[in-house]
Amino acid sequence: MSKNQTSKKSFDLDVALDTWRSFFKYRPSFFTDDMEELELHLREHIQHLIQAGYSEEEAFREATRKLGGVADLGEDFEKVYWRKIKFRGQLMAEVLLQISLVRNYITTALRNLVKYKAYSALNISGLVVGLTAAFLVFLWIDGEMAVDAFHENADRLYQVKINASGDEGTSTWSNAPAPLADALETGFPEIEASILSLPIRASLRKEDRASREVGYFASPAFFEAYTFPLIAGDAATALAQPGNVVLSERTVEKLFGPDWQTNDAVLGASVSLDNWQSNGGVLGNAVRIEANKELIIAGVFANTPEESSMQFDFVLPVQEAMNTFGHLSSWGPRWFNLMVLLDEQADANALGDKLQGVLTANDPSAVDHALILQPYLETYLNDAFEDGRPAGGRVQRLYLLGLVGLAILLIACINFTNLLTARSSQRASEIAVRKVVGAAPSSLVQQFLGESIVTSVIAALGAVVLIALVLPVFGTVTGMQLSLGDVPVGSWLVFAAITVGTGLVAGFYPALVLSSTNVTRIIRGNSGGLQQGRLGVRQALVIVQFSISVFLIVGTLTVHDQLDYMRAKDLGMDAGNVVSVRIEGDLGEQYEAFRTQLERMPTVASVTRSSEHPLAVANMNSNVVWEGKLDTEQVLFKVLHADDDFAETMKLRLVEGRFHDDAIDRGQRNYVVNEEAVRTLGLEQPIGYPFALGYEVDGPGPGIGKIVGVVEDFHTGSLSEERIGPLVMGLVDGQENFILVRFAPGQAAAGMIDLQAVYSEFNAGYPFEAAYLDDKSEDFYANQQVVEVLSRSFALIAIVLACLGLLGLAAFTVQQRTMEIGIRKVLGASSPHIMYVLSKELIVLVMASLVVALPLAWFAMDSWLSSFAYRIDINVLTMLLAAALSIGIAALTVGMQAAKATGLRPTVLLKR
Amino acid sequence: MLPKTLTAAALRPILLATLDAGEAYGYQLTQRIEWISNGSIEWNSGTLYPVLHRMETEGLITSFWKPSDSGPRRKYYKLTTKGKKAVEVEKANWMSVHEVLLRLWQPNVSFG
Repeated sequence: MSKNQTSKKSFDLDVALDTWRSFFKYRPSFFTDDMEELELHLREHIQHLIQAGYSEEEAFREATRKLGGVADLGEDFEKVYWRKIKFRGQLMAEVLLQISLVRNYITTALRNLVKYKAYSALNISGLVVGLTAAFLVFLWIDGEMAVDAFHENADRLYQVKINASGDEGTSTWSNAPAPLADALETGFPEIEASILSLPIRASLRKEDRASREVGYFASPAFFEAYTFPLIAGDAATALAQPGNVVLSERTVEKLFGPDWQTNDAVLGASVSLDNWQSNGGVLGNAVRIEANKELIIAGVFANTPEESSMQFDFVLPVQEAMNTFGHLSSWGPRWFNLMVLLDEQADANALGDKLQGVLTANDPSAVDHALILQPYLETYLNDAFEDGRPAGGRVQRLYLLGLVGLAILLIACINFTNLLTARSSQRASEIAVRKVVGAAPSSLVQQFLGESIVTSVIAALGAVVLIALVLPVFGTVTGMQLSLGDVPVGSWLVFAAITVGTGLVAGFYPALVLSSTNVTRIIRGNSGGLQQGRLGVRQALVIVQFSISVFLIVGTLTVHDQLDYMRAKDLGMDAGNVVSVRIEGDLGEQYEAFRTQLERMPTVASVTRSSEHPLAVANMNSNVVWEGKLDTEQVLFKVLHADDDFAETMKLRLVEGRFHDDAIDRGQRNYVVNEEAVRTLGLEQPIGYPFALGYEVDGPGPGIGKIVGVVEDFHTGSLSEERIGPLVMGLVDGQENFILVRFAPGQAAAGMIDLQAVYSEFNAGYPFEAAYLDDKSEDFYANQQVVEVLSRSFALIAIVLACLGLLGLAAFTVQQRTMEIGIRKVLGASSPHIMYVLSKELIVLVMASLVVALPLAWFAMDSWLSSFAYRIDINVLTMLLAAALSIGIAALTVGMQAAKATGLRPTVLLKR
Repeated sequence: MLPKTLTAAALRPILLATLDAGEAYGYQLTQRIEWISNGSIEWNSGTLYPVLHRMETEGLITSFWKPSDSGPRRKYYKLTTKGKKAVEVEKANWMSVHEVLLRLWQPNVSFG
């Protein structure tokens, strides 16, 4: 009884109920109605219990126990209520709560950023660069993926390719014979249309205006299958009639003036086509017709969009090609690109199976030549085939650059992670206070992730500015023209996703570390526990960063060396200071006068003609005969026809015999071959050896000819793609396409002016275009140059970012160890020794990353180099240089921080 | 004491059946159920209310505040027509489960 008395004194039911109610106050899941009902329930139950003989306190305890705890009830109510919350405007409250949380994250994040300005600058600038790199790479990849996607029928277009199986595996050809188009269209109902196309170059002329353009011969269905909309004319019929031509808007403007649209005389007007050239077929059969062909303009198409893999300015009916080159309508020559448009229900796989044997059925000589279909959209990116199947190609560059972009972003994230965890001790008391007032680990994780997202959003703003600045440069390097305003909304969403993702990745580990710190230890002042044991992860991350950097440095140096090697390699001739001019108009007829006049100029050293561009000989011929040739023997020769002064102009080097001499060799079947030809044919005495181009032997004249000279091997193609093969040279006899002019040493600029003057005199009405032969090698290596520039920039970014991170860590180490430095100094340690002590750990990490990265880099670069016909070996020196560079830069970074500390007086250090 | 999940599952038919006997307020319902179950079913009585709310959203019951003669007003619950049908459905369901279990628990149950 006395117990009851005392408890009665100390227990007040109303106070108890107030307390009970207050627990529910902050739960958003209860409404006033609910609270009233619950309280009534509770009161009634208590009343009952008291009546049954319980004391007030006992009754309260029993009744609340029976009712259930706050957490359980809240959860149950939430489940039921979510829908109602929305309706009752409680959602707003919920949102406001979240907003206030986010505001708190932002405030804390900003406070921290401002408080530690140096670290923040490191973090944010790293993220800015990382985000910029990642987004640029994304834009580029996105652009590449969008190529050709604008065609409305893109998903129904398939390219027909030929898989030719032989002893040396299966090779895949992209060119098909013309009759195959009809055979497919008539034989397979699921094929709606088949489209042949064959690229040509020509000069288009309208009175005194001329324009040199690239175009296509194409089937009538061309403008219906592809989406190249016609501005004028009828897409269905424009190419049906031989003698028609369809021009691009831009070409029409060039020929008819900018107001062509108001003057509707364009359709039906005629233009003339001159100097056609077509490099059809895999063997590069160049054909040129010297004729002024009158054509009727039957349509004008909108300029080909940038994202089209086909860029052209005129289209001629394919029938025109058949009429001109009669043999093209047979199954033999495979010159054409063949595309089929399937109907909407067609199953491409099933059709592909059915198509396989079509070629062999029609062309008995095409044994083991199977047809395959490649979706049009894949032809741009997946342009390489191996063993009859797509084997990457351009798409590999996408992967490569994508990986590099991610790697840069990763380095930036690691900086962020490392700096934040390293700094965690400074925030230990903040964390402790949050924990003590009841923050759950999950809400701390939320807070830190929130902070890192805020940081990366700030970085993203900076990145947008940086992107705007570098986009033009990036565009020049990659050939992709894009300004900030053109970036579609979807891409910005991706950018936002990358930003948030970066924040999450970068903040994930620090959030875990910081939220799981032990409060009691912090409060006892033992905040060091925050870093100990975490060093393993941080070290590993530094190693990852530097491995990526070293890898990229080795890559850059190797790419650079390889390009240097290709540019500087002795070509076997001297192509510098020589320009080429295409022969067209009256130049062919008046060549002798043209040459005489040019050679009178002191700026011109010599002039000659050739059938091919000396650095890009495309004419391959297996129809070559020599004494002792077996029927089964086939050797593919490059064929180059040139005047007798070609050797002098190009500075070819004679091995034995003599070069051509017009006086002796004109009309004779006398040939000059290269050393590789001698080796291939196995000739011991090449001079005088019976030899001829096969098609000449059957013609009029003295039958088989002979070799009169052997020239040192010279390069006639891209060093990255082809090794020097057998080559034969004859005198030009109607096959001349190029005039080659060598300027006198140091006279190139003046020579060009003289050349233009003489050209205009002889060939008015044709635009003057002279190209340095060297430019061809720039063309050859354009792709590699893009790789070089990109890898150089990315390697630079990577190393700078990694060093920024290292700088932060070094600064942090120094700060942590000020006391130690002071004591060491007092005890008489020399500055270099202290610097060594401070730098040792970080430098060891960099060295460890060398061990990881160098073998990987060696392997990767060796495999990259193996795709080149002429390649360097990876230089040990390159490896050493990369190692020295990374250690040097790292040592400099860390050393600067250490030096700053060791330079201070011990008293200053100890006072800190 | 029954496991929580089973109580949660059983609460709905029990409440429907209890309300079928006549409208009642929350505390009254717990009293009635405790009495009829002879104390064999025990649960956190607070759980009752979310279940009632859900049944209300589903349209099985309606609620209304009613002043009481003795003390403060009370919130009463009562079955709707839809709720009355639900009682029958629940009855059929639980009876069939009940019968299956009874048969299974016969001393020498056979399946052939």
